[in-house]
Amino acid sequence: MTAVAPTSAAEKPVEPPPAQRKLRRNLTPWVLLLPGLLWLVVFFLVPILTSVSASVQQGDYDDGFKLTWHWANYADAITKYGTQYLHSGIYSVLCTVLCLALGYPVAYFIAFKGGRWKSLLMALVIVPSFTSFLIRTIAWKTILADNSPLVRTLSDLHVLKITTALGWTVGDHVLASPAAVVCGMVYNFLPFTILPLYTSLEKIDPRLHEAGHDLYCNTFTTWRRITLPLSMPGVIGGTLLTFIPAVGDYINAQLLGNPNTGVVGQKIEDLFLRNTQGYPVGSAISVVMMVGTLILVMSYIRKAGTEDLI
Amino acid sequence: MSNPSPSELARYANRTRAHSTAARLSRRSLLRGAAIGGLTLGGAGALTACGVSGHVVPAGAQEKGQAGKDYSATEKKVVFATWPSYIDVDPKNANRRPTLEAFEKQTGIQVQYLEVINDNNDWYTKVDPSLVRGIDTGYDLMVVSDYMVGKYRTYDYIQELDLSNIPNHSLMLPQALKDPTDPGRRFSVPWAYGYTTFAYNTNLVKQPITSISEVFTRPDLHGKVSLFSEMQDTVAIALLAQGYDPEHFTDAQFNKALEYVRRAKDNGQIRSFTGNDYLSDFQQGNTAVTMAYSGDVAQLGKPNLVTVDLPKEGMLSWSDNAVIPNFARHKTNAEKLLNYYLQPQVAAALDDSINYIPSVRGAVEALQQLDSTAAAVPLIVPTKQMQANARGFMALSIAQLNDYTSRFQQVTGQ
Repeated sequence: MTAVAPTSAAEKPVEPPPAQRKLRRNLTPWVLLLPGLLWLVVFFLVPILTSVSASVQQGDYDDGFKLTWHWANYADAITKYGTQYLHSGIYSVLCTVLCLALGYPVAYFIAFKGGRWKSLLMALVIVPSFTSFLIRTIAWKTILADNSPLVRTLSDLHVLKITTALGWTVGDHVLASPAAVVCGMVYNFLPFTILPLYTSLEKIDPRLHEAGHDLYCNTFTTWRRITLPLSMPGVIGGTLLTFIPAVGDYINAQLLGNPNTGVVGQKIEDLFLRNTQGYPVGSAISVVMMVGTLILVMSYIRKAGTEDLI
Repeated sequence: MSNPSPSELARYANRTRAHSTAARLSRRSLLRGAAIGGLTLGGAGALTACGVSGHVVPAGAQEKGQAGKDYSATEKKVVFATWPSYIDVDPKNANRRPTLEAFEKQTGIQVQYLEVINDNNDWYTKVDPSLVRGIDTGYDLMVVSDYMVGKYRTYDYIQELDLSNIPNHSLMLPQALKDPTDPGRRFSVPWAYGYTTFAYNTNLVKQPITSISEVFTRPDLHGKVSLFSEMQDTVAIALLAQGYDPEHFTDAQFNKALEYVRRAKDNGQIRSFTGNDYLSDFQQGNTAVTMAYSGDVAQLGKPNLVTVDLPKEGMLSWSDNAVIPNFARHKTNAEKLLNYYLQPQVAAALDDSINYIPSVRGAVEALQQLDSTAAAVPLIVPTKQMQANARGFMALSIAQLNDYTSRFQQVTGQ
């Protein structure tokens, strides 16, 4: 609407002097950007700067924190929480891979075989997220409870013996184990993988598949040579939308994990909420996480070669 | 206990750290002079605490806390922050709280009863930003553990009680008055005395649990044990398991206790470290054994959930206390509420329901009249053996407290 304003102004009989017109034309984009910029400054820039500044402070709640450029906080943040970084990394990568493996077939099916049920099927994917994230995670506590039918069945089938030997479950229970954490994460983030995958798969012209078959490709080769390359933006988008929140997620580890499945988010929460001196190191960990995630994501995008995504 | 002789009373007193550390403290404070009497974190701690500098509360205010304008007369209400399962409920309707409702009827003061405290440190970091800036926290009354009373006092965050509003203050048992963190109880009123022990689910644990070390080592309990996320509770139990005394321990012993907990956590014996929310997993049968505050499990009234009255190695005794934070809007109303709960009959009704130990003179007798079976429950009226084997937690300086807590959180904090 507003973008049209200069031209409609130009058609008016009383025309402002050219200099004023130019000024207005230069200002318009900025005025339009203003709410967004303000939003970014207040809710992104200021918090980030606060967090960076807090990460080099010293002190405690009661005596106040002072900016002393205490870089040792970073040494603490990096050296003391190795296991937590490792867990965050493993769980989020695993979650992303599993989400892709589960989400791709679902998105493929809906996009190509869904027919007139497409919208309904997509709604089925999305609707569960209308329930609170927290409640859905707590529901998993019931699904995976020690005496739940699912866990009893797995135990009777001796599946848990194998997973326990691999270190993914503990004894004959699933709840409070790494497997439960990853299950919860996959469940919670799956829609974020499916949505972008579906959008990019849906755009693919089905005639390309026919062409592939005409050229003597079997279904798998058609998928590998045609569908997969064309759906790459969806794969990358889905990966990022899953990995970035997953790496910082701690609700799943908190509710479904045990003391040996700690992730970085829990450490930060502890330092912020239960430790009167915890702000600086907690902030330092947050900064390390942010920079780390940024580097990972940037190199991933470089490698995948779709700079146009960002 | 109905008619305690002096020697019995002395032994009764022994069960709480209140008495034992108070004795130590008073000797030391005598030596150090009255000047540090106000800083109550005990022993050597008092000196370290003196060194806290840069604090915003002006010197001299240190004594009494800081009062705000009291709106009690015009706003007939009191905002009460406390822990879950800390009030008597009507057995027929869990939403009704008989003693609280009687108070409201009697005084016309509406009580906003909020079960918002789940962990002492959590709560401290929640109210601290207001207290440090010198503004009202929004709460008139809050229940915190004994050692925290000392911490709040050190920073002058809680107000001195106006005893003219609390005539029943004189009914408090002498051992409750001799509190190490608040001698004479000028700042706090005990809400409950209790123990930290263990509870287990007999459906899942076939062989009864009688000692702490079993919980940490028995293979059939592997991955089914939950401990408390609060340092005092878990460290005291670990110290006892190793034969050390939580009332007097050294740094090296603390390290060994911490190591004991770390080993059990690393090998997967421990399933979780929880706050006061430990009961949900325990009731669902996800944890078979849990560290438990003595009255909680009995309140559930499930025959398969059993509290260990006294583990072989001993257990921790503690008190939770109601205090009035600085600038509370309804201080007088809060004091009236405290006065109400210091009546023997009311205290008896409360403890009959929450299964903790009363600290008011005559409450045990009132309980015997009210509910003679409850009066026979050792968790409410402890046996002499329990009193003799329950230990308090050593008084710590702020620096020690912060150091121990953060090192403990390093282990438990996942």
